[in-house]
Amino acid sequence: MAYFTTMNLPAPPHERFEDYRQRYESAPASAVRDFEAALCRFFEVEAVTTFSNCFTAIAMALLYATRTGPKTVAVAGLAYRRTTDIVMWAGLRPIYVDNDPGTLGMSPARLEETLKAGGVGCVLMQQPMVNICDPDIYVSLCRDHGVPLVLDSVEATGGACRGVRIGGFGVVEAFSLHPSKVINAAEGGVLTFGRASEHRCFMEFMRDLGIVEADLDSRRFFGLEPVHAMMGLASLEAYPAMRAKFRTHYLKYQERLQDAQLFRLVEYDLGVDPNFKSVLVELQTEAEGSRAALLAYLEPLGIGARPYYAPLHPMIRNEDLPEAGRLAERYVFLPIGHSVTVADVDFICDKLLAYEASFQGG
Amino acid sequence: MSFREIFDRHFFSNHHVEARHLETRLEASFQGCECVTFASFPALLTAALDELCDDGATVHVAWDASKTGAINAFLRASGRREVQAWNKEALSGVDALRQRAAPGMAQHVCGVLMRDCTAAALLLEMAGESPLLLSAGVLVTQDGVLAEKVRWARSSYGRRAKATIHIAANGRFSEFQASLLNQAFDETRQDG
Repeated sequence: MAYFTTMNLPAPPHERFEDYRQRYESAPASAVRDFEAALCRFFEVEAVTTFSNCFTAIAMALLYATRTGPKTVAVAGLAYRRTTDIVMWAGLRPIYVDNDPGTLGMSPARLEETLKAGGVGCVLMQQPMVNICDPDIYVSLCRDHGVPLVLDSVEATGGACRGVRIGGFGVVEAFSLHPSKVINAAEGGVLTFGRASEHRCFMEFMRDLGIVEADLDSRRFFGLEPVHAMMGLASLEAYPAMRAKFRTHYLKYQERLQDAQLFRLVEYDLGVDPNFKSVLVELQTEAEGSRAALLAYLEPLGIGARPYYAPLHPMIRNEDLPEAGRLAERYVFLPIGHSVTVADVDFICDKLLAYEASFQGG
Repeated sequence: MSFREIFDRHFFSNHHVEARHLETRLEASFQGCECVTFASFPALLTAALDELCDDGATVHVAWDASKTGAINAFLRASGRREVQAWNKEALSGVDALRQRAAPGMAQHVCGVLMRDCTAAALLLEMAGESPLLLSAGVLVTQDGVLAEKVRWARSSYGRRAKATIHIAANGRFSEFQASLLNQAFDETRQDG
């Protein structure tokens, strides 16, 4: 039986990866420089720095952003589950901010309250799946309170806000290069800087810490290995074709679920040039255990739907975050990308609508 | 599953099958030891040190000086204890662990962690001159408790944690990464 999964692998054709391997065989290190140049063009930023993984990249960005302030980081309650670990990995303390039920991102109103209370070293704003939260709202809030803003924007890769490409907002933005992400370097992370001057400050900070050598170019220990750069170069080339495929699947889900009562498809804003990678539905019921029951119904059918950013991290469970707690029970991430065809999406929607009919019938 | 097949399949599972296959092969090369793969070498090292230094013990490392400087810089910046450079007393423990390396694998032994003059773990770095190798790492240890804690710090692969983890790192291997390393492992064995 076929199994449809959320574990999409946006890989380029194998031949393109092999082409890059051959091209850089005699000088592998230059693959990293070329990949970073390509990332600058893709994100339309002045500078980038790559790391061995995004966990490390974000930890470094947080150390930089908190270098002169309190050793604390404001993060959303419902977000990527490793966020708390990243903050603590960097030796910092998380301050949780409730979510916005509309965008699923960090609530600007709650963030403003937190910033007014003081004691925040920096803000780590993570772009949620599907929606792109307007970065300028957070930039403005942080500027008003003199707090640096770091964005984890991997879910918004390729998107734009009012014509400005995601990647150049805040002090720095971070993007995972894990195989499950839009830019698949088979692991890795990249920090993007809208201004070259900020990048220079960051690299000098890294040098002062001792993480990079004095020439600012010897960062292999925490840096990306050439094979990942080669994979990333091939993956960047494949982005337009992959996005087109993701868009076709999303549009099929949208068409089939438009009249559904139990499921609300979280719709992409077509004005922000989205990547269409993720397909998310909200369950339109408050009944306890309804999501677990749905997932249990889908799994034997070969439909590997998954809960969205749940369960919450143990450190969050005792926090007063009513929206994060509520939202963590309501969303389902549906099979996507290369794991499905348009016909498979039809099959998945058939099963969802059949489940809805049985649910409504009691 | 071959690296090429992973490419062509275009999706991966989160069930650790390929990574476990790699670990089993490495364990056969380091008899009597457990092997824990980790997606990022610096993160593996930090996770292992977090566990080894948990009770305030001093941990020594034996490897090239440039790595010690870089990792100590991060350990300092994140409020952790620094590792101490190599000490002579640890030599016998290092040899004992190093001698377990099968031919062809010794080139990947990039360091040794020592706790109280006892060899706690070898560190394999799957990076180097070959453009096939990754910035991943492998912990090789006879200490089953350490291996288990580092496994949980890496990723639960969807299972519920049985142990209390101080801080987890996202060190999970995808099938993609593991299959690439399995291919590299084949080439290493042929070279060795």
